[in-house]
Amino acid sequence: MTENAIHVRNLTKRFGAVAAVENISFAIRRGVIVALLGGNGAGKTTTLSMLLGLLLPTSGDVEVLGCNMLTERYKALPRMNFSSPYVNLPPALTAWENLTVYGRLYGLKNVRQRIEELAERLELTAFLRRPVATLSAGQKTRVSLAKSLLNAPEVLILDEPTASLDPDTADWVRAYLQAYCAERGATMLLASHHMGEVERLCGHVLMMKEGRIVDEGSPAALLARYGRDNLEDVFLDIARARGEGAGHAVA
Amino acid sequence: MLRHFYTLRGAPFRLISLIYWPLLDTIVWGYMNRFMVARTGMALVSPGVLIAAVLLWEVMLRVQMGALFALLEEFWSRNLGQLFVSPLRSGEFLVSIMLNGLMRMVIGVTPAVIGAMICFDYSIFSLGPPLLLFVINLVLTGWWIGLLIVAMLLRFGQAAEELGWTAVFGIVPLACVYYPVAILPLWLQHVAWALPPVYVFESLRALMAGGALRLDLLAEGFLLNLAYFIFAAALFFSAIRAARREGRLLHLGEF
Repeated sequence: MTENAIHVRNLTKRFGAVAAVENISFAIRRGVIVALLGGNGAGKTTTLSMLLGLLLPTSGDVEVLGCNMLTERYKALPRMNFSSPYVNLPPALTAWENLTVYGRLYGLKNVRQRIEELAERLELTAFLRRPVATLSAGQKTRVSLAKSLLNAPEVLILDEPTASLDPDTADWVRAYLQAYCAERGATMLLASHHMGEVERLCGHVLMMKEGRIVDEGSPAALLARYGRDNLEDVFLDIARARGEGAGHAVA
Repeated sequence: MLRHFYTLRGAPFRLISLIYWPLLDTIVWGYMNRFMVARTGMALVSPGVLIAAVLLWEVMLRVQMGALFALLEEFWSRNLGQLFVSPLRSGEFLVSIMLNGLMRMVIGVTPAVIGAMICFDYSIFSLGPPLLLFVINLVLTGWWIGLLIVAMLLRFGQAAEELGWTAVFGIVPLACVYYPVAILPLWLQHVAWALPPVYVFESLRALMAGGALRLDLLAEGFLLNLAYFIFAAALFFSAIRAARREGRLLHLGEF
């Protein structure tokens, strides 16, 4: 069994003359929670899309759970999952119906039981039978999270997992995700603009800018490297710096 | 399939719309048929021929529309990205599109068939076993036209949706649903014979005029259908690959 849950080598994605992702490489060990940070247009969504097999790279390799996502995608997909507030579940279906459809798509044997279990853990039971269109943004986020956990994935890719959640619920979800990864040895890659969340959850951070990984390290290491008290200031230092290597500037 | 079943179950207006149009068409053409038989006395217009034609046309139309809806529902709900990060394979997606077309056809055409029985005392089942051959051919046609439109939508996005609704009606004049192909100018007849529905409707008219079942026509139509279906399926898979290459699976439905 490969030690790395995710392994990316020389990954590039060009749209015409524009390089959305330029020659990035990284490896994420199993059981680790990693954050992918960067400003708007840094290449985070493009990178996540290639990891999920939604987007074909221009060049380079992507392996998830030892499977090449270009040629063996269907071996990895049943063991991974994804959540994003920018990709919806069918709004006309109830939360229950949506979870049932996806439970079956992921080949679950006891779909009903699994949904009930997740509904209890994520506190969805009160609105499980309501159409998704009638749910609040926070409730939709929780249903989307439930969908991403249906198949007890070994790799979880989350885009803004606590978007639209009130602080109390967001904190609860973070704790749940942390416990989930610890219990299952699952690997999580999350894109987030919430620096406190990243500092709390993540053992490693990848900083992207203009399609490249400009820096990486544990939150503590990055704080020390940039001489900052919090990741938000590190983020701003990198986002506002010019050229490669400028990300290492120390205030 | 389950996803689309839930959608229809929870959306009564969609169900009504599915039933309304075939039923309305049947009633209009049924009275047209009755008028033509009564006023002209023409033996050419055998009782029920127009009703049978419209019901069979609805079979093809509803299968094609069902296939189109299978993709549009995902566009409208911005759910395509979720589907394609699941273990759902492109081939399974294609099958679900075809089955959705069949499901919507059965739901839509059944009330129209019953309506014809009640309003005009005409049963399409009076055609006998040949009905199955007609339906198989027209379902295949609905499938490949539907797949072509789905491929176009995957390639060009929701901006092409308008064409998706209207494209199939463009073949109505040439499909010779309500009149024999001999009515068309000679040069247009050659074009019409490239369309599988022509073989079905010519066979239908021949059968209802008291002639023998034209198995030769149906066989030719079936082979044409198979060829077009293979071509449409290839385009469909190619469109998915292109959408994956160009990053459109996440963004389809936004424009």
